[in-house]
Amino acid sequence: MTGLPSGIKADRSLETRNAFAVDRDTAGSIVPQAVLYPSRFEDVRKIVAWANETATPLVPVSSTGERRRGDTVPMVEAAVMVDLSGMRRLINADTRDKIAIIEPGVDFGSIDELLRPHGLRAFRPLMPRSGKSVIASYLDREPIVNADVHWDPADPFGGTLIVTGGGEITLNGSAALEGSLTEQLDRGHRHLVTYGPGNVDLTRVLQGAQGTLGIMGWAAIYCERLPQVEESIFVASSNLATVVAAMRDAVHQRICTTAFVVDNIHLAMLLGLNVDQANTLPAWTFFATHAGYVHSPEQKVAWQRAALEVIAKKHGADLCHELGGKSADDLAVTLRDPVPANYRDVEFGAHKELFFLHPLSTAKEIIAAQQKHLSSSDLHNCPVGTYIQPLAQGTFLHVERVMPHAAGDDVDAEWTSLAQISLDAGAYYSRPHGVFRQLAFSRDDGSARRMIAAAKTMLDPNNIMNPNRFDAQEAR
Amino acid sequence: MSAKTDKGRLTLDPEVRIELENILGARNITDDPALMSGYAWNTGVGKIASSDKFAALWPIAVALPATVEEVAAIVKCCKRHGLSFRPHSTGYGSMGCVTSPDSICIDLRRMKHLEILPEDRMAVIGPYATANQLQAEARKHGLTCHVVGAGPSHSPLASATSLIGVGITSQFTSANMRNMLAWEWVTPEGDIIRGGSAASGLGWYASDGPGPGTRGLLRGFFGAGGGLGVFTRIGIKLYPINQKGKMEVIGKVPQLRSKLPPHTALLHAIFPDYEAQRAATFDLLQDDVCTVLLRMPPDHIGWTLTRTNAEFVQRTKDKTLPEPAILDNGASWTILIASRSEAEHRWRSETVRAIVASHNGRFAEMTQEEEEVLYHNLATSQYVPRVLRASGGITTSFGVLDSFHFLPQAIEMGEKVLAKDTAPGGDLCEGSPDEQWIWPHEGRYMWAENIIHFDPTSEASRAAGARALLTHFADQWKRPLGTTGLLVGPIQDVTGPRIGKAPAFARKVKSYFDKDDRSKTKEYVIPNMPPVVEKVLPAFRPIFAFKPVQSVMAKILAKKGM
Ligand SMILES: Cc1cc2nc3c(=O)[nH]c(=O)nc-3n(C[C@H](O)[C@H](O)[C@H](O)COP(=O)(O)OP(=O)(O)OC[C@H]3O[C@@H](n4cnc5c(N)ncnc54)[C@H](O)[C@@H]3O)c2cc1C
Repeated sequence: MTGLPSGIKADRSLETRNAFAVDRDTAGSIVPQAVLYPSRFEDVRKIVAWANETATPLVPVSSTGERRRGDTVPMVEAAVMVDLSGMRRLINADTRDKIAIIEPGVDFGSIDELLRPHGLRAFRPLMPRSGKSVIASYLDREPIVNADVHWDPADPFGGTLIVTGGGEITLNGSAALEGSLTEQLDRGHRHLVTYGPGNVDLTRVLQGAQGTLGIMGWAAIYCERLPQVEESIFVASSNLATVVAAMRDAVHQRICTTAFVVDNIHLAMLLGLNVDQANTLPAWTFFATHAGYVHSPEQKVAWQRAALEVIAKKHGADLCHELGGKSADDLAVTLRDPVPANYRDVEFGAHKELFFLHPLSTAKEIIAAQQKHLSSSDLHNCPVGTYIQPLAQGTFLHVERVMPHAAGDDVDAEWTSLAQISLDAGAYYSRPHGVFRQLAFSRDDGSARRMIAAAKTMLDPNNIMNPNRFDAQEAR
Repeated sequence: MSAKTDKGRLTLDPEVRIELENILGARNITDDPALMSGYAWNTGVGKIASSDKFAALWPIAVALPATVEEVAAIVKCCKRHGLSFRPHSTGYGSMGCVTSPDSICIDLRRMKHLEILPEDRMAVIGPYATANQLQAEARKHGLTCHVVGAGPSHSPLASATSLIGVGITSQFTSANMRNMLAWEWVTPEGDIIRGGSAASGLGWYASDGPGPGTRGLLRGFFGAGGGLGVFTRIGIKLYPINQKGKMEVIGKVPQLRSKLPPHTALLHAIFPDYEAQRAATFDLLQDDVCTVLLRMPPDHIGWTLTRTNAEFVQRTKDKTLPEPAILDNGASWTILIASRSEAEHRWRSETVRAIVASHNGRFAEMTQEEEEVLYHNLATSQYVPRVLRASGGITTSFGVLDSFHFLPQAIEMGEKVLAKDTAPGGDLCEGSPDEQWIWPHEGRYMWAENIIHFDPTSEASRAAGARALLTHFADQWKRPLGTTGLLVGPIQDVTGPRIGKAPAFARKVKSYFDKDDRSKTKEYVIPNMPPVVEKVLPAFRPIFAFKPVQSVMAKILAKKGM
């Protein structure tokens, strides 16, 4: 066992280390040698420098509570966990520019409270658990429900600070300025730009890297003004194509702050109903929220609602204020309500997930291919929910299938075959996790592997960051 | 590649010619000087030119590939024979000219793929689909593309993959480094690499993954300017608009104009000062009230609203220029509101009017014709050609990216830099020192760029242009107004740690993919710089910021061109 870097809180107890050897989805067998708790980015730099000197693998983790997907479970011996969850500062927030700077330990359970005094709130994915780190979520390109302001997959990041695997501190985007962060903020800089400077965009490179390239020390994140008026509604139909078309038009016209489509099973999970009650819900629902922030908010929400009514009518969808005994406005509140548990596990105790990107124009076809497979497989009696999130303002979709099941059920093989069928039908696994971690690269013409190797060589030349997470990751 | 022409230029080795002919067919490769002169012109459009009409460096040959495989084969051929190359899309400005005597120009004009996917609000394009063509096709579906400030004739692929990408409608059409989706790329070694969903053969919609967003190695803010191989196809995001079909054009060149579609308004708000404009801007950016916000210097609006320079001068003297073109009215926004319904339009118009009034602003009086000219210019991004008319030579400056907090300082700093030489008797184009183009991106942050007008036929004027450019950088070092967007080549290295590790990383990328520097450009990063030099260069900042040194450097640039 190597000596740990001095001056940084560490825990070598077996209990703590064991907790990081597994997660909910991963029966890992490798116990890390220690857990380090940096409290500032300077500590992170020190840890990374030490790891390079001692050839110690590092696995960064920022969230607390139940972890999943295996990306924070070491895949090599003698790894050290870098637990950033104690770095919980809101460094700055600015109402005028709708931006905040946070550390990686700030989670969805706490961020809105931190931002409230500044008249802001965070963009969030669909019902994140409270312990999920905001930065870790954005780093994994977890889709936010606010399709309208999701211009590009880098959103909602502004400027950032990254400690690369090689131990260099990089200031990225418009954070690349002289002076300390405090001096920069005092001069009026707000780190609103994520790309650059010059011709690199390291924040984008780090996104999706699952801890294999470096550690983000802080990040500026775009925020939403607290709305003065907010109204939500369900746009329902028995037909998927109808709700997708309505959602597409609404997103293209930029009249919703929140926009996503769910099937009845997924909606039941969101509403806190049990799966049996899903039958009482419409087959497909587009959930839409309009928000008025500063200027004549009632009037704004009114014309947006009127525009949505026109769209719904055009496509033959029904507008409903209430479904399953819960109003759309109540659901909007629930979506922001931090709870420790994963909503997908609430009824049966466990779930399987499958998510990928897909063009909006052919969403119907890929869901049909999946349904065909499901109906003829051993899963034909199992509930499988669907969540469809428009991204990049409706240029493409995040499609998520979720099967809640009892903790002991052995459904792995069937779920893997659904992943394969989906791949054949055109699923693009841009975030390789779970059963599609390897599948994600099975159609790669070699390009992705080469580019990952290139990134690894440049950012983490000694391969200390979460080694073996990607097949292609060893530095050249 | 042994022989030299009587002008001392390298000639195409017959063996290389045969290889290229085998790849492309004889009619798609040329070293005819008459044709190659078209690839070696030197206008000072976007750059500071030398005194010669032609660039000092000409390509050895021009190759015209039609497919990605042909591009890859050309690049490999260059590598085999120790030649360099430079990709060339439409060649707007002189940015696509070769920068070394051993370079082949890869002209991509045969690769003009253009396919609109309206439901997915995107297009798939090759390098020679121009913004004009893309916009015309997109409009058939109620969509538009982002047209950068350079105007409609540029290549959106070149812009998105390789060079800057900002434009006057960025408030609602973002910028091209963010509009780029999946990509196809021939590395400087001649390998074909695809990115995002294209690497898995799954279409052109997703830019990143599987796993890391490795595109960030190849494309940051500036682009590699041809220094990282050749991009051959991309997906590009389009933007829904409130009108479907052809944009009707009225009038005669140069005063083309277009009628505003229903539920659309073009307003020009004037504020008492820049502090008031800044405060109003923060309000205008809430709730996404405006479709476009554009701050043009009054002179530039004047050049747009008059037919000729003579008319502009006469009307300046007569004091008959329209209000937006009057110098005292510089604290202003041209505002486009494009709505889809009457209710939406009422809310937008009333909100904008209330915000402007609450900051003691007012709206300029304009004739319908003037409004329609400005609308046409805005929708098709025609300001550069209009502004070029004044002197025939423009370059640009720092490119501030940050909060609108810096709006008044950006204007002040820009004016200070240009004041002396734009005054009567100065070496730049005489007129107002206010040359600052400003607009918001995505309802969030400011882009500000200070245009520098010079007379390309006068060495003193070119030197003044170069001096102004260098002063901008030095002033930014002293009092940063935000990230300097237009940092490129050696200036990045001198700027040094102030911009983090960007130049060092760009150099890593360059040497990883192009260790022999075959993909030659001056618009990326100095390749293969020894680490000690990288370390000490920033120490020379005070020297580069020293006025006499700047003057000497400016004189050299004016003589030799950029
Ligand atoms: C007067 C003027 C004003 C301008 N204003 C703006 C502005 O407001 N905003 C803005 O963003 N830009 C501006 N530009 C720059 C402009 O964006 C680019 O010149 C243009 O977008 C590139 O298109 P192009 O077809 O002319 O490219 P080219 O001139 O052919 O090439 C431009 C650069 O990209 C490289 N390149 C071209 N094609 C490829 C390819 N397929 N693969 C790899 N590298 C390639 C070239 O080698 C060269 O370095 C301006 C330029 C001028 C001259």
